[in-house]
Parts: sequence; C-alpha cells; structure tokens
Amino acid sequence: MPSASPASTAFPSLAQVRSWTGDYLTDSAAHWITTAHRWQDAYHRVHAEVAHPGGRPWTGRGAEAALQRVAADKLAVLGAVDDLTAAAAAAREAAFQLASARQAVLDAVRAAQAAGLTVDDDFTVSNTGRGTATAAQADALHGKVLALAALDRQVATRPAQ
Amino acid sequence: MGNVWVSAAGLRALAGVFGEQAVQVSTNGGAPPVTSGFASSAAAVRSVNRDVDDAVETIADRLAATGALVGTARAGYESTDAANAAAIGAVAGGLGLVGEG
Repeated sequence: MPSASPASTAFPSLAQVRSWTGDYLTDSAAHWITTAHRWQDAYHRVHAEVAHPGGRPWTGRGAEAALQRVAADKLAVLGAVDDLTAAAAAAREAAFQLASARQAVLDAVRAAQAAGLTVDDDFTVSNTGRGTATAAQADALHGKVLALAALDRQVATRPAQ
Repeated sequence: MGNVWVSAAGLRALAGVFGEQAVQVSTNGGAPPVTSGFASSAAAVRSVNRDVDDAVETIADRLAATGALVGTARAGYESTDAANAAAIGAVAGGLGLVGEG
C-alpha cells in the first residue's frame, strides 16, 4: 500500500487533533454573551433614565432630541446584541460539531494503527506489513480528516456573520 | 414653543448615568486569547473578537459623547435661565404705585 496523505494546506496535524479542545470557541462565546448583556443593560438604563433624568421630568425639544438619539442608538445596539448572541450560539455549536469530528478522526487513527498501519503526524499512512490493513482503512481515515477540515472551514463562516 | 420642564440636577444625574454606563461597557475584560484551535475556526473567532473590541470602543464613546451633550444642554439651560433673569431684572424702574407722587 503506497503512502498517502490528504492533500490540503488547511489540515491540522495529528498532534493538533489530539491536543485540540474547543475552549477557544466556548470561552469566546461566553465572553460575547457577557459583552452583549453589558451593552443591553447599558442602553436599557440610559433609555429609561433619559425620559426622567434623576427622577425629574424633562420635556421640550431638547428632551425629545435626546430621547430620539438614545432610542436610535439603543436600536442599533440591540441589533448588535442579537448578532453577538447568534455568534455565540454558533461558536458553541461549532465546538460540539468539531469535537465529534475530531473524535471520529482519532477513532479512525486507532483503527488504522490496530490494523497495522503507521500514521504520521501529517496523516500519511504506511503499511508495516504486520497487520490486516487495507487501502480502504487508509481512505477511511483520510475521509475523516477531510471531513474535519471541511467542517472547520464551514463553521468558520458562521461566527463572523 | 411647547412646555419646557427641566431640572439642572436631573440633567446632571443623567450625564452621570451616561458616564457610568460608558465605563461599564468599556470594562469589558477583553476577549480570551485564542492561542490554539483549528485554523479556520480560530481565525474566525479572532475576527469576531476584533469586531467586538471595536464595537465596545464605539459604544462606550457614544455613551460618553451623549453624556457630554447632556452636560452641555444643562449648562445651556442654566445659562439661558440666568440670562433671562438678568434681562428681566435689568428693566429699570418699578410700577411706582406706592409712595410716589
């Protein structure tokens, strides 16, 4: 069986797959949610306060202009809050999906090694001749790696939306 | 012109609220550093973090600017009131209904 590896520049190495955790996704998602809440709270507070500054009435054209400005800003900020909340949800989902794809790669690596294949860090596989390895097993492993890399690219389009 | 109700103390308090919220928003703690992860998703997370940092600055600046405008409005109301008082008080002479003539 000839050595082979999946051809792409965007592949993680076996070491990267083994050491991967989704913390960068889940930690960032938590940060985005905290940030979104902070923005929302700030604009709820100022919007409520601008109509009755210090609990006192404020009327007239200046008051109306202030209220309009704050209402428009609040609308824009709440849109950003929605976007950030959606990005956080996407990042959490991405962490879940990537973890599953990563596990599939590691399972395929173990299966290939158990069948006598040597798997290098770049997922090049070679047959030691001592096992029952088949080309199909190497192809299966490369398929899992391809799927992981494709998923990584796919989820990357979502958090930035 | 419609009715105008305004309280200098209220506007001072309002300007303070804007300032406090600007600080609250900018006290963001910063995004957790992305030092590992798969290439594409890690790059996407870094990109969102940059956008969030920019938005934090924009929102905090806007809150602070609005607070400053409220402060300017308060000063304007006070100045107008003082000018009105001075103008009215500057009208010389009284009605002269008592003790004159």
